[in-house]
Amino acid sequence: MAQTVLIVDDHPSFRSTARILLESEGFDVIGEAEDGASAIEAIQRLAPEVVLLDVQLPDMDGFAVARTIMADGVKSAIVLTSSRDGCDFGSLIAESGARGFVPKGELSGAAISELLR
Amino acid sequence: MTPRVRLALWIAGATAGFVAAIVVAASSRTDQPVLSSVLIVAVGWAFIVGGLIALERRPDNRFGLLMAGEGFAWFLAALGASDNAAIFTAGYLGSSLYLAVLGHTILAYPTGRLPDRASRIIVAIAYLITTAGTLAVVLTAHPEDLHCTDCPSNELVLAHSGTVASALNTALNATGFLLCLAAVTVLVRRWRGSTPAARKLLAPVFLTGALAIAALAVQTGLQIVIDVPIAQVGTNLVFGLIPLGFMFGLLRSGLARSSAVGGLIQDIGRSSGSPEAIRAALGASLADPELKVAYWIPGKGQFVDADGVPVFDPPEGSRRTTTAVEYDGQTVARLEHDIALADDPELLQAACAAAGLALANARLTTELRTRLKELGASERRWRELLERVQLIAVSLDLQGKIEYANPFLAQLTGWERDELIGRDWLETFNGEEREYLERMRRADVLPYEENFIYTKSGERRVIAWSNTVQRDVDGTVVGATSIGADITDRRTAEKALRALLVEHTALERVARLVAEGRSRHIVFERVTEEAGRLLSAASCNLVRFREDSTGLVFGGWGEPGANPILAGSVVQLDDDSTAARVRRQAGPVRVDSYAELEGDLARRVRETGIQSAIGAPIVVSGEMWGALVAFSLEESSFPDGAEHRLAAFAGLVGLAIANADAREQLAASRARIVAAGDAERRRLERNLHDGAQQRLVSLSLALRLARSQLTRDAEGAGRTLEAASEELNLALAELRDLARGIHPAVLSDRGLQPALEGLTLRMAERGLVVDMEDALDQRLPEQVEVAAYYVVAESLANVSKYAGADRVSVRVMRENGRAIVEVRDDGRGGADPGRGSGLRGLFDRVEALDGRLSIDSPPGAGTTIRAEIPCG
Repeated sequence: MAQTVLIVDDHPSFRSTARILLESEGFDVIGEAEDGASAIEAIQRLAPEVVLLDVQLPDMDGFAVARTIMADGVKSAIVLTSSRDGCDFGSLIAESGARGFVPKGELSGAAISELLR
Repeated sequence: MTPRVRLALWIAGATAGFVAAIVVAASSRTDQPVLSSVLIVAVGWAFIVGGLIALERRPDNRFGLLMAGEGFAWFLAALGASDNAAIFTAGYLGSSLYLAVLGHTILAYPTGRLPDRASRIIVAIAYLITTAGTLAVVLTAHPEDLHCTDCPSNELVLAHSGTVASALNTALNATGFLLCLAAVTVLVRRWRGSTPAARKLLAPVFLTGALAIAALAVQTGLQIVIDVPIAQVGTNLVFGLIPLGFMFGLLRSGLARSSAVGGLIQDIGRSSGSPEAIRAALGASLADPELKVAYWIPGKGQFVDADGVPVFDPPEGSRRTTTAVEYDGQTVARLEHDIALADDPELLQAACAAAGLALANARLTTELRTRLKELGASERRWRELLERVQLIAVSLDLQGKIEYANPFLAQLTGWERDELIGRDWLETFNGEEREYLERMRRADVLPYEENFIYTKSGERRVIAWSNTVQRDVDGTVVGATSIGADITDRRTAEKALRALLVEHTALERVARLVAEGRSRHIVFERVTEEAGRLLSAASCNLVRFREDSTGLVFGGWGEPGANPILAGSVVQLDDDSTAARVRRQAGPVRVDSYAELEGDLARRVRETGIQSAIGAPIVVSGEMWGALVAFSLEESSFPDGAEHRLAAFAGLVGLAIANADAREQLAASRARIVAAGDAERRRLERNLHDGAQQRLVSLSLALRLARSQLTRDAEGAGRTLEAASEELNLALAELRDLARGIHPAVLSDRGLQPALEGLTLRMAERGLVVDMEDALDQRLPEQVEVAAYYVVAESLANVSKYAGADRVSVRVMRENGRAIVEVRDDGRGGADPGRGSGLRGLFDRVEALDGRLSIDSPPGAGTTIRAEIPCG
């Protein structure tokens, strides 16, 4: 059964491309969110198995979103993504509770599956 | 002439006399041989003896030699009486030489030298005719031709011619006659030109000489007329008188000398011994009434007359000469006398010796008189100097009474000079100088001292005194004399100069602090202290004027317990106070009495003991910033002009504040530039991240997706590539905009005008019409172009965003070395430069180039932004 995914990013072009890409690799994209607040609401509502979460959002950053939903006891696996390199964020990614980080340019279903294994 | 030669002359003279006597006595032509011999020998020897005696007496005088020579010539002529032909011929040849020698002797009397040209010519001709002339006759005539029938034969006849001989003889006689007349003329003229002293000397010889020459003239004259030999007995007798005349002259000079010296001693003994009496006695003794006596003054190294007036040598060529008088080996005087007296040195020496003691005494008298005269002259000069000098000169006796006061003291002090003499110095001028009198009595006055005197009107003058004690001849102190210079003005000037120096130094210290960029707090503290101390104030404060008519007091300086206003307190400036007056008058003020001030603040100040104050404005960049105020616990205690001196300090405070403001503004500007740079980089990063980077990421994903779709969904892959292509175009457009935002390349490449045209076009795309006027004829410096571009770009962006304008005009030009950029719109106005970072950034950018940016944006009336940037 395909894993459910919520894509959180403020750029529509990225969201649409990511959706096609992940769906083509067998993921079930069940929703999209364009900022932190709507992301938290969608996670709580849709309870996706995977949240592809952009680090940079208009209202709050991806780390804050991660901390919030983790604090709420949400079980979704969080995969952080950014057009920047993962090194740019130092230890923030490791400390965020997320499963891992995938640079946007390298996004693929396989990369996510690798992190979820 | 050596004694041996003289002895030889004596012997020769005696021998010649004997030879002549024998020849005459043995002659057959002599009527009375004995008498003739005696007469001939007597005359010849008289000349020789007289001459040789004269030679003994005055070896350096040739007169004696001439006289002796005349004796020998006389004896030569006597040989003519011989019966022997050879001796006769010799005597005949020298028969008239004695006449020439006689003339020579008389004309050369008394010096032995011919004194004038006439004499020399006469004597030369005389010698010529008596030698060469006689020789010519002897060579041509036999004795009978010359009327001597019984004479022996002439041994020297070479060419006999009685006619020629007779003519020659007559010519010689005629010449001799003329020479006699000429000689008499010369003697008479010389006699007439002589002084009495000279005549006394000349008389015996001139008388007999003139007589002999006259007789000779008669003789030769007769011979010419009757042309026969004249018996020479008369002439011979007259000749015999000549040596007697000489002898008489010598004898007379000896007698005269002893008589003169005897008379002189008597005269001096009888006289008062005064210089004038001695001079008169000497003049009488030496028969020179014009004789002058000069006395030797060793200290001056010169001769002076009896009155002490320096005496100089008689002029050359005058008939006066000098003879020094010595006494006891020392020169005591000098006689200026007739030059003729020099021919009788014995007389002069005897007179000098006789008068030596008297002259030595008179010299002392004269020297004393000279010294006294000089002393008197010196005193007169000093007195005149003291009377005229612009210095005080005053003499006091031991009781402190004024004995002498010069006109300057009277003029300086306002007293009449007559009033001062005899007045008590202490009572008149300075009651505190008792010590001076005591020192004077102890002969211990200070050579230099400064004190003061009071003028008649009570004014105090500072005097620098030079003092000296006065003593009488016994050395007893009798008073003191002082010379004083009025140095009041100098002291005042020095004091002012010192004060100025102190003030200058204080200002310099503060200025150094200002220049070093010390904090306001330190400068304020130092300024108040320096100004307060310099002006002898009790305290000094700084007050900052505030917009609400209050003033904030800054920490100031005060003597312990004297600072009346606490730092940090707020004072009302609408009350009357020094600071309030400074604010109102915008200039230095002085309050000589706080009693004249009303209001709460003045009352509070009075309560602290303050009585007077001065204040000066602190102006910063043309604005009244505050005041510097100095207080005193006494009324009217600040000197005239003190408020202006305070203003100098206030000026430095203004400068310090302006400096600090400038530094703060500079620091803020730098911080803003740095912050603007940071913000710009953040914006760039965000734009890149949000724009092109996201699109490129999406493009990357899309390309990967398309690849995976190619095999199973070719149509889908095509759509994905289509979308990717659009995404790529968007990314390129965004990158272009971004790059332009960083720096418009066209600006660097092609200059301001194309760059501004590009801006205009983009504004037009947004619906804003830009009226561009570019009046630049050449490119501006790059930094200026960039600043001008951003002024226009930022202004247009603001117009586009906020102004709601229909039209906007842009003008760029160069004017007086400045680039002018002006953006004017017709929008709603009310722009606030402090609100956005964009305008503030423009200010910083323009000011960094020493330019000036101004914004005029009244609400509802559009906005004008104008930048002026220096561009060389």
